[in-house]
Amino acid sequence: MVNQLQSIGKLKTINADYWKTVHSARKDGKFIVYTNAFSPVELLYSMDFLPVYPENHAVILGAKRLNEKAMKAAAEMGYSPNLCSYARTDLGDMHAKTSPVGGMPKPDLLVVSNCQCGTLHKWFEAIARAYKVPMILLDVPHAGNATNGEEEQAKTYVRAQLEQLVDVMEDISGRPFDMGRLREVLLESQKASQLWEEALSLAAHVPAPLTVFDQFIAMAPIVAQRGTSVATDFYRQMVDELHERVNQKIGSVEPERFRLFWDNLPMWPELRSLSDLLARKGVALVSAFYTYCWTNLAVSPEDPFGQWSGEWAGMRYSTHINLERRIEAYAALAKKFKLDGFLFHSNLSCKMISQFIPDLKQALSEKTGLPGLIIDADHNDPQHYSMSSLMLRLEAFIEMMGSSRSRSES
Amino acid sequence: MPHTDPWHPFKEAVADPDQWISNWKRKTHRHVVAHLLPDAPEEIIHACGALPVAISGASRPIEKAYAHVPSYICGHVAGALEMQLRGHLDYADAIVITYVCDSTRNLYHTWKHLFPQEPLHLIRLPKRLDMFAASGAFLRDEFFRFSEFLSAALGCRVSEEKLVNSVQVYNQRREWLRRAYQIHQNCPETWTVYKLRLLMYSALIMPPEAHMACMAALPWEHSEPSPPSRLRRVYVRGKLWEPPELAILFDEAGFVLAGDETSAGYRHIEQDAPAHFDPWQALADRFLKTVPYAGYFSEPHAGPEALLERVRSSRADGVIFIDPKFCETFGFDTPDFQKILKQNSIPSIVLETSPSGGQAEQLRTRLEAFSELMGNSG
Repeated sequence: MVNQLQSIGKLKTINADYWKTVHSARKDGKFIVYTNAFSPVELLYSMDFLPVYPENHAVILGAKRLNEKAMKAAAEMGYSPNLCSYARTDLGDMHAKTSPVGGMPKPDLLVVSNCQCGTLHKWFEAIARAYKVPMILLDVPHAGNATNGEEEQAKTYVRAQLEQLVDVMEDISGRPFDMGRLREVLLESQKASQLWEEALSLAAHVPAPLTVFDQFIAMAPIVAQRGTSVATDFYRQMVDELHERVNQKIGSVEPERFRLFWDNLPMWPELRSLSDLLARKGVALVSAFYTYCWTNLAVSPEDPFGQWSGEWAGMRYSTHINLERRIEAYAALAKKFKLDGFLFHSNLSCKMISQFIPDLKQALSEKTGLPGLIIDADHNDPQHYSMSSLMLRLEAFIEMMGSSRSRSES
Repeated sequence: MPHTDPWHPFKEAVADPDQWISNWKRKTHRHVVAHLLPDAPEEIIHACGALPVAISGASRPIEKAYAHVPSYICGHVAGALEMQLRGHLDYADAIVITYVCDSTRNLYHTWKHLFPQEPLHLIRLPKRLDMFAASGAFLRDEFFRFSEFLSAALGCRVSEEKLVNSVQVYNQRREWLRRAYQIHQNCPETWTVYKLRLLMYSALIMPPEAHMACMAALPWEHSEPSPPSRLRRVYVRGKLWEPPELAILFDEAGFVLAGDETSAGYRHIEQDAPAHFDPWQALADRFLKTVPYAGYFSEPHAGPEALLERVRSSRADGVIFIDPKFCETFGFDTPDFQKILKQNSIPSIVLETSPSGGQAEQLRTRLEAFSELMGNSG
């Protein structure tokens, strides 16, 4: 059985209002910027540029299974089915127009950071050409093998790009950058990020008051509206409800037999089917790589440009693209969340995160003794997987965990 | 007895590069630094007294690597890992990976995880080609950092004087290779695409001095222009000249390379490092002036227009895109690049190449059909 969180019910209105706001941005004297999750969204808000996320929009179409036409359109445009399905959904929907939220408003600017992935950079180039609008790439040198002392030049490089971004936004809007406004937005962003982290951490309780499926649904505000009071207010309510559940020992999944970790992006078209299957088997997904990414994106209001340059040039946003750090982080999460195993989503559309999975699974098995299952699927394209086959594998994995537990208990 | 075929040294090197490099190392007792393409600064490796060799992982059968990376990772990356796992890179004293995309960046970490004792370095090539000064300053520093890695790994030191010399040597070799391209365009039936590929790919593993000495023995002076009227001029955009049979298929299809911006093709040799008081900066400037690799960023609208301009200048009859399967960087460019060509009545074709090669017959059919199409369009 799944106990639904009441606070999540508010998301329907929050999300609808967000789309209304972006569609009326120009009437309200604001500008539209397409951006990605790991970009300095607070800077954009502070300069009256409303961030709109092509990834987020692609998720909406994928989760509602409305993206088949869009992906077909993308194929007709010449985009290989082996490319990221978020991108194919988004690019294809420019022609297919199946969006349930009125589509993406025409942008004034595109801003993308490649510390998330290089695919976004290429995807955004295609969007820039389609809309004939300026694009800024924030190129973040990967801190793979550099020590702190050698990163000054990297920080200087990133800072120069951030300053260029400010110049471009000032040119488009005709309004000067205001550090005071940025600091206010950052404070708000910090509050929301801290509440989000608190919400995720509460899943360490047994039984977990929320699952990763709740997190996937609830993450929209921290992605799209981080830096606004909308996100802060929502997560405050959610955290309050979670604390109540913890006090009353109400779990999201009852009975909770196993606690697992989900690696990689969600399978958006299958949230319901996976949630139902796992709940029937008493499996709670209590932690995930994807949702944790949004716990530490807000930099401090003191010297934000320095921090962005330093954090990006450093390792904060790079954990997921550093195999060793990912192994350490997951092993720590295994203890914190009292995990029984790992589910690794080998996601054809996200080669960046998926590339490490075979070695990650092996290393974690050796380090934690916990079993893991690799699921070959896709975050937004059902044509890349078979749900029947996947369900069978999941059931077999859960049975295996059950047998192991019975043996060790006897 | 010396071989009478002046092309023999190049054929030998390209036929079995791993063996060739191992033999070279055994004879010379010098270091070898293996690097991924594109855009590793070979001059810095050379200045260290080592032999820079490009890791040619594409088109190799992949089996062991798939225990470590999914099968939907590009063949260039999976193939490089396969080579390492099979011991084909045992000759390397150090490995250098150039960060040009997500897969190459990740490969660095996988390699570090699996082979922690191996000297390994990641060169973070800047993507902002539109910010010349900022990128140039960063890259200069990055190249210097690379030289410090080599110094620690190989016990050598890259002095400015040595680097200036290496820059000159590599500039000279590029001049030879550009000349080879010109001769191919004038005499494609004697200086074929296959022979051009021999020169370009052997250049990726042979020391430049020896390579130039072998090139000096080629029949340059016997090459007279012959009008290639029945041959089709093609412009090629893509990552690599893979699979290896592709060059022969081009010759069989009657193609002349009007232009080639692949990583191991003309793009690799078009620009020289400028005369500069600072050889590090000269190398950085060379990188920034080179035709952008798909993973780099210039102004998005300029990309297709710049390709169109290059294609027009080359007087190509058509364009061939060589897109490796599962490569996101090339995959996102090709549709808009093809669109602008179509809008300007220039035929084009996309060859999606498989990670493990082995598609010669399919490619032959497609190239023959494309040749006919160009004939009909002309």
